[in-house]
Amino acid sequence: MSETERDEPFPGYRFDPAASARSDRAQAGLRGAILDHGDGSLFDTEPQHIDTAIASLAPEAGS
Amino acid sequence: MSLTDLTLAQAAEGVVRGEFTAMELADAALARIEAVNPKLNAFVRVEEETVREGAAAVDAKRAAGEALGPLAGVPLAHKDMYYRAGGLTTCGSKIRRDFRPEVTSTALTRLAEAGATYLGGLNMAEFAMGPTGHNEHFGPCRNPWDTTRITGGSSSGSGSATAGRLCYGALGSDTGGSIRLPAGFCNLAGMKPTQTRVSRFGVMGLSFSLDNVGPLTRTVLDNALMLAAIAGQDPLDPTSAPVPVPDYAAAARAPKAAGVRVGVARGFFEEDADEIALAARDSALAALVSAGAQPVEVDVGDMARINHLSAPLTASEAATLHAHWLRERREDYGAQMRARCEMGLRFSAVDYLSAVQLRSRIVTAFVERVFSACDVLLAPTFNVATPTIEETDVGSSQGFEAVISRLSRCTRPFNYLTLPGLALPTPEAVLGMPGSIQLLARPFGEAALYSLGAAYEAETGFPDRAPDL
Repeated sequence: MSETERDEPFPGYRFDPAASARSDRAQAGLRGAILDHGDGSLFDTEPQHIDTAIASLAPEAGS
Repeated sequence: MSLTDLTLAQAAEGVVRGEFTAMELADAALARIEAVNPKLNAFVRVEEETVREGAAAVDAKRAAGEALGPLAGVPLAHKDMYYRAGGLTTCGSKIRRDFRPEVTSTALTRLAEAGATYLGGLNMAEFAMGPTGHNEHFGPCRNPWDTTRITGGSSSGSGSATAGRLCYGALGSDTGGSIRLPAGFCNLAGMKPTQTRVSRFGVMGLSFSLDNVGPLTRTVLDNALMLAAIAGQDPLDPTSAPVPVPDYAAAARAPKAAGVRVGVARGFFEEDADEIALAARDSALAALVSAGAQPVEVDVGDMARINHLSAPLTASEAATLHAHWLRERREDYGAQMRARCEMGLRFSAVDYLSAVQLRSRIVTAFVERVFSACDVLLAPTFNVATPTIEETDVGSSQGFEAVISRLSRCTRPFNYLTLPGLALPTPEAVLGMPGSIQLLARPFGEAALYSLGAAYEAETGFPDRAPDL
């Protein structure tokens, strides 16, 4: 990605210069976490299974 | 005792029994707002006519002998992001200062069906993004316990108005702690329900993966009554869960701590903590043990990584929702809101989707590991002393993320993990200000939190404390 693209998410829009450093720190933390958790078997066709996952973890209704 | 000193449950029972009218409750709340709101800046808009119309309708129903709902005639106010068709909803922003939605949120519809009346819109962080209670457009909201100190955010007005006795309870929203933090800093009970437990139809979105609707109240029973009114599947919100809703009020009326295994979250939650805040946490644990709970140690794992994974969800989804206005009205945003949205524009799609895709397996592993060892998890809501408004007025200046991270580090992981969390005041204060713990349960375990919370409340008597305004 070129610097021009990084600095213009929309035509005529300039990022706050401090945003780059903040963004780089957040990306580094995120990518470290993904590496720690990802085991190379995330080949699900539907990425968002959270609804069914938490429903299966619920206590019995009425408890 | 003033009518405004009653709890929500007492106020509703008084209307049903005819001890006072809904109109008298409305009048008392309006007088309290007029007297105290200038000190707190909790309300951004008072709707006197609306609350009187609602009160008159409740009183007419009672006069006609009709059944009244569990929130009969109780004046509530809400974070100013719950849509009411035709009514102003500012979202704490300049951009939506004149916004009049065409729909009414399901949460407000259900509260009205339960008999509640509507006092007006409450101050909040701009577009619900910010944990302190600052707002560049409407001014900072002030803590009733010390008006130089923050309320916590983003549901700042919900915390301030409820603790200040300007209303009997309030809805907030919680994407990274925005219900639990103001509840904690203002000596209230605050429930972030399980993700998908409450409909978000007609509620301003910030992050569709992490947003939750929930109540802030002065007692556990009040909280249960409000959640009972709004919880459950909604055909207007396809993300709301088809999971049956237990009787939360019955749970709150049946305090139970005996034999409940309370896991103490340490490690991450104790790092960089003020010792005085941890001492307050320990006083809460002692109260639970005194009530009969059984403390156990649990391994919560690496919560810092959970916070890293939640970052692209919040930032990318907020940036998506705000992209149009970022392009067209950049200067109308407060500096911090704009800076945080800009961060969202920079995460890659692969990073974002990785965090989404990992979520279900991380949640499942966490719940199976932690809640096999305990029934309820205890963690501090925040592990710092309440800062002043002045020292946290950082805008987008160098280091503003550190202020945000420090305040919300203990709450954010549980949004990614989807878990219900009930914030409750600690018995011991933190340098004269309220301290707070959060009790957490497995998904859809809110009833267990209310039973344990009620036992804790009976042990500590935290609702008996009132700010001197």
